[in-house]
Amino acid sequence: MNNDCRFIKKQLNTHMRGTVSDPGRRNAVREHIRSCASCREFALEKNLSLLLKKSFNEDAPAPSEKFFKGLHQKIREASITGEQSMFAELFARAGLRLVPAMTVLVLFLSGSLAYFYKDAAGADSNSTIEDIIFFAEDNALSNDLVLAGVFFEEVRCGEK
Amino acid sequence: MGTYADDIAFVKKTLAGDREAFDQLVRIHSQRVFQIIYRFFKDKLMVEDIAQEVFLKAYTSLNTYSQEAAFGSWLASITVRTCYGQLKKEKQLRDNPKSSFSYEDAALLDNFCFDHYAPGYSSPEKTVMLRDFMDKVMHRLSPKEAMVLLLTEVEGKTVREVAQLMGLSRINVKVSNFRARKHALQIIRTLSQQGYVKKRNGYE
Repeated sequence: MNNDCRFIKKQLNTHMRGTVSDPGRRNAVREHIRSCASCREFALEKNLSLLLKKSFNEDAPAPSEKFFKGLHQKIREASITGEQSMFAELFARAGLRLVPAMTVLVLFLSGSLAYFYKDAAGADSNSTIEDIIFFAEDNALSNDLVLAGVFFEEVRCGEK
Repeated sequence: MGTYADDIAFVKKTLAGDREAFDQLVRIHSQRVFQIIYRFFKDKLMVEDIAQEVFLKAYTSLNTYSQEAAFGSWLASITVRTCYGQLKKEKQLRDNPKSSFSYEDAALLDNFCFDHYAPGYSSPEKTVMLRDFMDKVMHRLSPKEAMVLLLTEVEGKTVREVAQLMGLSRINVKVSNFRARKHALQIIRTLSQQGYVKKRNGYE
């Protein structure tokens, strides 16, 4: 950077504030910046914020009546869809609450099943897991009950 | 612009099922929403489409508005994120912007550097030309860079505010802002040189 550039860069700040009234001086600064890449870069950096503010400062157009009508329509559609999905949501919530209750019921029934089978086979017989599965298949019981029964049997065997 | 108390009253009525209360909120805040969107999109139809999307999102998620911040701030956050999503979609569709720069663009830039303070410089025609020019520059930035730059430089938001609006960390915003400025200057410099080269080749 030479002395001219240092001088120009100092002048540029004054120039940008609009306080240089002498047209001769303004032109000299302008011509130097056009020819000097370093000072041009400096001027651009200084001006970027201002350039952005001036370029994007325009007022937005006002919303039209078409905008409001279109929005009403979309909200009406969203409300109808919302009512339909509300029932689905209620059902899902009820379903979720039923899951723990169903789990307890299944465990109770399968525990009873394991106990009943053991009694039916004889007090001394060891109800094996295989027997539970065969019993369940013969009586067309659901997989959940079978698994619960197996679980209970494993626990019962562990207690022996 | 409505007061905080007015907004809360309308929000409560809307949640109770009064759709006309939401209409009131739309009328109060629509101009501000339009202004934010207009920073990023010039086309009026697109601005209205995006604004409808913003208000629809606000309506369907009104039960998540915590009422701690002003309703306008909550709505501004939805607006900014919707614009960001749209910018990302557009970027995918438009990877190589075809608009080029001319000598007139380079001259406009030079004149701006020297004459922006002159009386009569800020005429509507000049503003439109500047906007066209800077739109070409902004289209060459990434969506994140463009958003952060416009929110900090034009909307005057702090780093913290931009982070909240965009759902980013403050470090992310600071780094994006630094990169955006550097990238924008590089683009302007390159395109300005292209403009002068065209002049040398075309006019001499």
